[in-house]
Amino acid sequence: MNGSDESNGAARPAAPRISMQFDHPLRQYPVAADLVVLYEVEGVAPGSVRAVERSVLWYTEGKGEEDLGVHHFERLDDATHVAEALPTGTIAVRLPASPLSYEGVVVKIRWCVRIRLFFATGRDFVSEHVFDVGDIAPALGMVERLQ
Amino acid sequence: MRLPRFFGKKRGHRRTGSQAWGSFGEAIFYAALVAAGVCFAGLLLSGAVGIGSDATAPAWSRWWLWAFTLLIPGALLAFGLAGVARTVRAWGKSEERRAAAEGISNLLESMGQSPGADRGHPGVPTCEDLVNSPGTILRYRLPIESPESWTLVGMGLFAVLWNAVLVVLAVGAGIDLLSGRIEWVLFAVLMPFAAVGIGGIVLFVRRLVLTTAVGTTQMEICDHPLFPGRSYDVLLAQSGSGVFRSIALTLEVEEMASFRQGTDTRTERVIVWRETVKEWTNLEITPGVRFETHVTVTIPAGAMHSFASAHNAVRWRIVVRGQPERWPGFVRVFPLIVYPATLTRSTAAGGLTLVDKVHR
Amino acid sequence: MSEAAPDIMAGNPFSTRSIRPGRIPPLDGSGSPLCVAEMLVGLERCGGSAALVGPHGSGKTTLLWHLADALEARGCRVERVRLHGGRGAMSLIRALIRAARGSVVCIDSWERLGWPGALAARWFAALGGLRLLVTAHRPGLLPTLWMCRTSTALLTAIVERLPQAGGLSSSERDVQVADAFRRSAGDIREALFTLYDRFEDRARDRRLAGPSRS
Repeated sequence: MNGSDESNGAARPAAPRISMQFDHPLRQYPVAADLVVLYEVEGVAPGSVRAVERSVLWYTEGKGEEDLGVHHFERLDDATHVAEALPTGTIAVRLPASPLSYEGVVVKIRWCVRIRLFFATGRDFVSEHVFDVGDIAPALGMVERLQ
Repeated sequence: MRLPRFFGKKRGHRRTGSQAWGSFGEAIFYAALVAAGVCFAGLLLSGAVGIGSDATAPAWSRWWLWAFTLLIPGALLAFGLAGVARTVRAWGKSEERRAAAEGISNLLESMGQSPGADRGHPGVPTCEDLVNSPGTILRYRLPIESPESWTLVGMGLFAVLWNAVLVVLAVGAGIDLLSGRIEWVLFAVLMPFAAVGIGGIVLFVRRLVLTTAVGTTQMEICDHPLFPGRSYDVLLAQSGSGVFRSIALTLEVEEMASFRQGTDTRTERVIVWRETVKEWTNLEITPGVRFETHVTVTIPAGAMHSFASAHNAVRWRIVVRGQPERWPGFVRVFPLIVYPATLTRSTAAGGLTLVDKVHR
Repeated sequence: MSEAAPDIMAGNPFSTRSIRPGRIPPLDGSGSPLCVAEMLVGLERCGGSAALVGPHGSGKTTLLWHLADALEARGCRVERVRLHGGRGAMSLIRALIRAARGSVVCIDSWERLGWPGALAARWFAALGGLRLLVTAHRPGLLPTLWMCRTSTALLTAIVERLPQAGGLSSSERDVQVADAFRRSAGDIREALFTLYDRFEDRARDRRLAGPSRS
């Protein structure tokens, strides 16, 4: 998903909307590049968020169990930092040398920026925005299935 | 004819030896359990037949006696056979591969580094085990994925142990026969055991002939790890005797995904890219003189690097497929590690420069 | 700065990420949503311990974890156990020892214990005042709370709930779903893997037909 939101919790008021602006065109980053993302959170009442988690990570997608590796993670849970992180904020991080984004047949590797909001009511909301690291050609298809 | 070499890797400090010895010890242990189970069962059956012939004992007590007496050898046999099967199945496979296949690798939760990942290249497996054995002509000798000689040892061990026990039981039954007593139950039990024993010998001899006649395949490479966009000199050495209808050397990329949900555990492996580097036809190999040839292997620019996480992997490998004239074909796999091409920050704006940055 | 792209599905909608338990609400054999609250009432009627029964790939595990979530949301203490190999048995023993009185121990693949193990676990649970909610292939020691059945309608309902409805138009969907269901002999999980492969085939054809990525 290029951008996806989901929320967990029993009561579900109107979901927030998180938009992101990436500093590279087409969200394609070379290896070891600097990633700068500006995000904006809409539809959140002031004071309703008790913590914000911001992360940059890769995950696998495909026919296997989902594996993930967190490259950058920060949790802001005191009121001052939460207030600074909302409604807009910036995530700046230098990307690692690997793994590179990959569109395989049964294994795909995706990088994303994830923002998770924890509400005072106990509900949480996560928004995920995918970007590419490297420029690996996608696999053309299955040549042979091994036993 | 060239005898299989069990200690081919004399140089370097690759873990293959100790891993193989571990499997070997494990196989002996389970095979000993099987042997004990068979012996015990044979002896008990002989004894139980004697008890069964006691007309004074009620029929139900005889059945209970049978059931109880067969419990211990049955358990030994079941445990031993399961262990042997598991050892043979895991023979020559890496710890990571076995873990993925058995679905236990999720114990190493992948939050962060994947198992055995390079510190400077997250998600890329290290190539320590691939660069610790120097080659005779080129820099490194590549390990083969499933060493055939150890499979041969496993099969031989099984055949010898099984048939040794079988001979002991058969001699006992023969003596009874000569003295005019026919133990039908013992004979009935011996028949399937004899079939398994003969099958074991046939498989072992077939494998022995195949290994000695076809010969070993060795692969050496000028550098490791590999990088996209670069070419590498590779030495293929094939021993054996006779005519090979064809020998093909291919470069392949394999994707592996392991999935576990509910009662279902499955591992899917697919080849997503294959390039035939070179193929030789009607090749005659003289005994004692191995076929040696240099080929150039090129990792395409923009290709995916090797990747390994708890349940997913992208693997590079060189595969040799041979078709001897008189024997069944063989496939020998040599794993490779391909690193991502790294872009230097200083040249990012002006043009692409590939830098071989290796963190070991 | 480039504006974030709209919410589009870049990957395969049939990947594990999209079909894992918890992603899709529990559905009955006809594809209609199951009422979890009613099932919890049924669990109470069964005396607190029960089994979700059905063949491979019929959604037992998905339903089990949904019910576990619902029980937790109601304040009930829940222990989750997946029985796989020796470690699975060990984790069950740990869970049975650790669980507080009144807890529900949710066990996936109950039949892996075998009847002596199942009897022992049931006895231990009764002794410790624990309740068991398990998945099994056949009815057995515990009363059956729900029989998981599959149908083409169920597979269609699942596909409709996947990102971008599985990337299939409604006419394609009916044909593809019916074929995948038939080929997998009613195993929903297997059918979803078949649809994954078909999606990859179509993506490859599109890549080969379209301009190459540079």
